[in-house]
Amino acid sequence: MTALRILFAALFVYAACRACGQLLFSALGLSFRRGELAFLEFLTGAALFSTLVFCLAATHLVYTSVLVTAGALPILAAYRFRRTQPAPPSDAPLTLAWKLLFGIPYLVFGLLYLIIAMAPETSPDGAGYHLGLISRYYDHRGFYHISTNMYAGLAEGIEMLFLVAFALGRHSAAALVHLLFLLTLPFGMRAWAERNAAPRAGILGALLFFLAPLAGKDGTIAYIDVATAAVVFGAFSLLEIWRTERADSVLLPAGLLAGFALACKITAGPVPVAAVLYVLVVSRSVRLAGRTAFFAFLAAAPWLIKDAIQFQNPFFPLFNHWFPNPYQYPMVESELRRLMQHVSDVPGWQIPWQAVVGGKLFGVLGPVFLLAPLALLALRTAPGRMLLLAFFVAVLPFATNTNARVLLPALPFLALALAFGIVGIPRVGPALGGAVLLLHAGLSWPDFIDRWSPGYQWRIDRPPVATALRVAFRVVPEKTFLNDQWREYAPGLLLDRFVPPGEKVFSPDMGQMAYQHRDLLGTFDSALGRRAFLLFIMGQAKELAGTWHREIHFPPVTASRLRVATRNAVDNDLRISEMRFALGQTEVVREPSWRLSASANPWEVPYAFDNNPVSWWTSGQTVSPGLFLQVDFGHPVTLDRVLLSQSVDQRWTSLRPVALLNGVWTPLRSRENDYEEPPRPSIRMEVADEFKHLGIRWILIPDGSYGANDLLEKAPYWGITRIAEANGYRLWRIN
Amino acid sequence: MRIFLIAALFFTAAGCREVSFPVPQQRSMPEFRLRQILEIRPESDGFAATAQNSSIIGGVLPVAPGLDWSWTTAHPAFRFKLDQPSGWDLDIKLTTADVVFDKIGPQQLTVLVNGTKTGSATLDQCRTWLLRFPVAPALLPDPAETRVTLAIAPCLPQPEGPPLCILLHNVGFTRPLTAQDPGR
Repeated sequence: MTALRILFAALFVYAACRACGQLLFSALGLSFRRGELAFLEFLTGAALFSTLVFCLAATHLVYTSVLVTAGALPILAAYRFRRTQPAPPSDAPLTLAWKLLFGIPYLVFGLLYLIIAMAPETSPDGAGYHLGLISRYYDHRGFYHISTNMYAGLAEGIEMLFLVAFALGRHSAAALVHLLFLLTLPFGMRAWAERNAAPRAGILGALLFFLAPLAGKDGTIAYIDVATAAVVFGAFSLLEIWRTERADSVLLPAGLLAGFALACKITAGPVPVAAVLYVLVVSRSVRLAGRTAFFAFLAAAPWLIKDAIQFQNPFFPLFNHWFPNPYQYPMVESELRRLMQHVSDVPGWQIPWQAVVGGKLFGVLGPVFLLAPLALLALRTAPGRMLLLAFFVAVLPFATNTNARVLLPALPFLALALAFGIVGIPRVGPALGGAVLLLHAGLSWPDFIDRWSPGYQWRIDRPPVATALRVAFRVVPEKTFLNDQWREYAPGLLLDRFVPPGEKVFSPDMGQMAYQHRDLLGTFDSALGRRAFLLFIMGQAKELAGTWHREIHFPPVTASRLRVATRNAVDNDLRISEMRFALGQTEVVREPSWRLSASANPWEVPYAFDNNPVSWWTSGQTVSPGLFLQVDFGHPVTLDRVLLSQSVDQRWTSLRPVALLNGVWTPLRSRENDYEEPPRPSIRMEVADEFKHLGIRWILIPDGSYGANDLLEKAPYWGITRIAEANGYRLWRIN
Repeated sequence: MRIFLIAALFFTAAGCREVSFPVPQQRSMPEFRLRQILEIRPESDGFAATAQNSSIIGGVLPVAPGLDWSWTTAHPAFRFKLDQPSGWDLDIKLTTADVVFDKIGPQQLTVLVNGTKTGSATLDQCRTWLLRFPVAPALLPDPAETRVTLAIAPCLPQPEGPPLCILLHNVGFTRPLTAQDPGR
C-alpha cells in the first residue's frame, strides 16, 4: 500500500506538470513533435506548477487537499482540452536495431533506477535539507523564516514539486519526482537530435547521459541536479525551436524554463542570462530579448523576492558581501566557496580524470567520457556547434564548485556533442556509436563500476534483487531499513522524543533533518550556528578561551563619537567581547542613550557591550584596514583609554582609536598595554550559559567528533546532562 | 524596462540599511557550580546512564519511559564519586505527591551522608521541593566512595509491593568552582 501511495504521488505530480504544460502550449497554439512534446510539456508545466505551489506555500495553504486540488484542476482541464486537439506530428522512424539499442538499456536501467528511488531516502542532502525543509514547510503549511539554515535561502523550484509528492507519499515520492526528470530527459535529447536529423546521435547522447553512474545516482535520490539538467536542456531545446521556426510565442516557455533553471539551482544562474543574450544576438531585437527576460524573471523572481524579504539578500546564501544580513557571515560564505572550488583538493589538471573515472569529486561519469575530446568533431556541424556553445555556458558554474554534480546540467550537451562527433565519423561512425553505447551500458552497471573505478564511489550500490524489491515495496518496513542502514536516523529520532518543540539543537555533525522536526544548528549553516560553534570551541581551546586584554591609551580627548578601527589585514575575523572607555582610573559608565554601530555586521554589536566575556561582536568578514566598531555617545565625552577584551587569537590584529573631532574622523596617537588572562575555571559553564542565552539548550554530537570527548570527560564542568544516546551519538541537555 | 528598474532598486535596497543599537541590558554572571547530580531517568528505551559518577543503590522504583522522576521507598540510597571532600552541598529535587499527602499528611525527610545525619526537612505541602544541605568535609573521608541515604516517613503502604514515599527527580552534590578546577 505504501509503495502504491509513493508511485501515485509521483505520477500525480507528473500528470499535473504535463497538464500545466499542455494547457500553456494549447493557449499559445504551439505544437511539437511527439517526443519533444512530452518532454517540453512536462518541463514547462513543472515550472508553472512549481510556481503555483510556491504561491500556496507563500500564503500558508500547504494542505494536502489544497495541493491535490491545485494538481487535479489542470489535469481535468487538460483532459477535457486534449480530446479536441489534433495529434501532434510523430517522430522520425528508426531502424529496429537502434530502437533496441535505446529501449533495452533504457528499460533495464530505468527499472533499476525505479527500484532504487523507491527505497527510503537516506541521501545526505536529500534526507538533510532538501526534504528536511520540505517536511517543515508541510508542517507549517508553508514558508516560514528559517534563520538557522542557509539552505532555506536557496531557490527550491524542484522542491516545490517534491512538496506535493511529499504530502501524498512522503520522502520516497519526492525522490521519484526527481527520477521523473531523469526518465524524461533522454527523450528530450533524442527529440532535439531528431529535429536536427541525427536520431542515432540522439540515442547515443541520451544514453550516455542516462546511464552515467553520476546521473543514475543523483537522479534516484531527492537531489535536484538531474532535474536542473533537464530544465536547462529544455530551455535550450525551446530556444533552438524558436530559432529554427521563428515562432515568437515559443519564447514564453523558453524564457520560463531559463528562469526556472535559476529557481531550481543557483548554479544555473548563467542560463537565463545566456538565453536572453542568445535571443538578442539571433533576433537583433531588444523587444524579443526583453520579452524572454521578462518570462525568465517571472519564474525566478518569486525566489529572489522571498530571499530579499526573509534574508535581506535576494541571492541568499550567496553574495553576502554585497547584501549584508544578520543570517550568514560573508567570511563563512568565502570559506565555503574556497572549499567548493577545491573539492577533495584535486588539482586542476586531474579534474577531468577524477570526474570521469577517479571519483574524488563525488561521482563518476564513466570511462566512455574519456572520449570527450571527440566532441570537438561536432564542431563540423551547426547543431554540434550549438551544443558545444551551450555546454560552455552550462559548465561555467563548475569553475566555482568542482563537485561532479555541478557538471550534470552541462552533461547532456557534452553527451550529445560527443555522440554527434562519434556518429558523424565517416563510414564507421554509427557502428562505433553503437559499440560505445553498449560499452557504456556495461561499464555503468553498478556491479561493474568497482572494476574500473578505485575505491568507494558515490554511486548506486545495487543490493540483491530480492532485497531491493523488498525494500522498495516496503516488505521490509521503512523504519527497519532506516534503522539498519543509516547511522543518523535513530539519533535524529531522539530529538523528537526528548527535545521540546521549538528548541534549537547544536549539532556539528548531524545531517538527519527529514525524519525529525527540531532546529539543528550546524557549524556553518547560519551566523547563529557559527557563533555556537566558536563558543563550543571556546570551552576547550586556549586560543579562544583565554582573554586578550587591550588597554589603548591616548591623550585625553573630548568627542561625541569614537571608533576602534583596524590597521592591518589578517586572515581572521575581528572579534571584540567587551569594549569599555575610561578617563584616568574611572570607567565611563555605559548609558542607554549611546548608539552602537559597526562597519560590518552591525546586528551583533550589542554583544560587545553586554558585560559578558563569552559573547562577542564579530566583523563576520576577514580583517582589512578600516573595519571599525563605533560608539555614538550622544554628547561630548572626555576619555583617554579604550579597554577591549578579546580572545587570545585576536592579538595579531592591530587596532587604533579614531575620534570624530570637529566633524572629521581623526586617528588618535595611542599606545597599548596588553596582557593575557588564562581561561577561567568556569569557562565551560560560561559557554553553556551563553548557549542558553542564545536559545540553545541541547547538544547532539557523535563520539569522535571535535569536542565530544571533552563533553564526556568534563560533563560536570560544562554543566550538562547526558539524556540519551543512539548509534554513537549522545544527546546532552544544558542544565 | 520599468519593471526591471523597480526590481533592481528593490533588490539593491535590500542590502542598504543604516543599523545601530542602544546599549543592551548588562549581563551578570551567575554563580557557576560544579554538579554531580544523579538524574532519575529510565536507562532503557534510548535513555543513557545519566550520571557517570553516581548510581542508585536501591529504594527507587523503575522509571517509566518519558518521565524524569520515580517513586522512592522509605530508604532510597545512592553512591557518588566526588573528586574532593570540601565545599559540597547536597541538592535534592523531589515532589510530594497528592495521592500520598492526602492520605498520610506531612512527611519528614532525613538526609544521611555516609551514615551521618546531614539535614532534614518537613514536607508539609504538595509541591516540588528544591532542597540544599551543606555537607561538612569531615563526612567525606573518602570522597570517591560517598553514600547518600534518604529516610522518609511516613509513606503510603501498598497492598502489594513496597510503600510509596516521594517522587524523586534528582539528587546529588554541587559546589562552587575553585581556582583548582580545570579551565581547559
